[in-house]
Amino acid sequence: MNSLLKPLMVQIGTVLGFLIIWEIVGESKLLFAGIVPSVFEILRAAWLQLSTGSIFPHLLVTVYEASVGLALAAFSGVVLGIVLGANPFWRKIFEPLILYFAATPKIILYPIFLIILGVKFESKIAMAAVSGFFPIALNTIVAAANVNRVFIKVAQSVGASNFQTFTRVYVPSMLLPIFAGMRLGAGASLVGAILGELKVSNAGLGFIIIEAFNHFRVAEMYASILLTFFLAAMVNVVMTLILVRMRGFAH
Amino acid sequence: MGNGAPILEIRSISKEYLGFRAIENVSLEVYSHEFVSIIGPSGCGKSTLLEIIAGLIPKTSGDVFVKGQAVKNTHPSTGIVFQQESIFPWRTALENIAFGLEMQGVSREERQKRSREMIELTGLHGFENRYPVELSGGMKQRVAIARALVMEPEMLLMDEPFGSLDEQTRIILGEELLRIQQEIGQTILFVTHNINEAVQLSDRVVVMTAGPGKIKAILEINLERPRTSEIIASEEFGRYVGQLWMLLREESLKGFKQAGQRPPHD
Repeated sequence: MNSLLKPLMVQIGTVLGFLIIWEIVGESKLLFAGIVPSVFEILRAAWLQLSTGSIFPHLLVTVYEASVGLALAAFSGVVLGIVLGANPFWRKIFEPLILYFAATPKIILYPIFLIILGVKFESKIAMAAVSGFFPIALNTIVAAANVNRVFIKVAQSVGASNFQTFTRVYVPSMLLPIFAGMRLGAGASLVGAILGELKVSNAGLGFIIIEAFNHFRVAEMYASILLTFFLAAMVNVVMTLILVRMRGFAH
Repeated sequence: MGNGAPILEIRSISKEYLGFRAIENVSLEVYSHEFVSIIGPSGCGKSTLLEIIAGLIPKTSGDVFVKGQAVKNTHPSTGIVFQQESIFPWRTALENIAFGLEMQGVSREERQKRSREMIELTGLHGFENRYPVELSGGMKQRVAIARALVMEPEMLLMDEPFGSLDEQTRIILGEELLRIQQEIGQTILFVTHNINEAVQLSDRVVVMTAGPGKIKAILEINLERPRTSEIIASEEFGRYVGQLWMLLREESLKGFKQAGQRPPHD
């Protein structure tokens, strides 16, 4: 058996084992009666959401909020990260502040976003942007500060202009770590958007999860959670694939 | 040697930084086709001197002329090869070599043509499209040398270019460097801390004192040219190595005592 296949088998085995235990717990009605629906019931609910298409508008809303938020986070995070990373003085002042803030749960800002931006998608975009900003900014600071000094000397020695040094040395040097930050940022943005939807909203995956919860449609709740999980996993898989491809070239 | 005006002329260069005197009153002339090495204990300012000549860092006083022109900034008449990994990991060998030409706005065809010539000259045939991760340390330094040479500098400055390579690779690359130098008549100023390497390669070896770096002596190496690495086995080679060590011994001991008293660099 090949070494890559083995972990995959164990992963599948773990999931299967978990499902079997779940099914036993649910069907025996000994523990958590009524809140552990059968796996088949959950799958039926998920199939219903997909086949009727009732989930798609919500999926779209969440993806929209998270991606606009991520775009804002990426732009501001990269710009600020380069400025701070390239200037030791400013970095010394602002990096600690960013670090403290990065460790704070961003949800505490949500009431402010709700007051300013309202209960619709704008406040979720703000949540997504704030959540995605920190990993991107922090990674960019390190990337900009760690550009190999010798590479810069090489560029100077052949008479490269400042602009050329930036585009041909700084940018390619920073691409990989910045993209690694974006991968983390994408996950964080999705979390931010869904967290906002769970609290106060009228659309999105977070909204239908909390709606199902409020009306005690347990199977539908689990189905929505399952689909959200698949969305998050997909985002991570896609970003990882791009990163691996980039690594193939560079390092 | 000594044919006409010097390619490089250094007049009483001094360099101070952080209140520490790194280089004191160094003067040196290097002539066309010459291979000159600078050797000295670590911290004697030899790398600093090279970067001043390249125009990468400013000097405190003195003058540097390359082909009679005063050096203020970086300038195309010198090319530099560093000890550390300096080739760009996101570019293939060929793209690395073409880098300088690209920055100078040389046309794509011309870049390709000249870079390919350098591939042949430096023995990188078959490795043009490899990325640095796929190259050995010795191959990477060949790329770095080719990247400097493609600019056709009057003067090639080399800062311990083989310093991080194993001894065998170092000797072989030294031999290669001499072949290349012979082929294109390159003038080279070479910084090293390796006595054998200095003797193997040089026409003249400049011995520097422990900090502040001054010129202690200049030793002429009158070994046959063209020279292969087999010269290492000769009796004269051993004599030169011995002579150099006698000059360096006292400075190295001083260098040990000084370590820790100066700002970190080198």
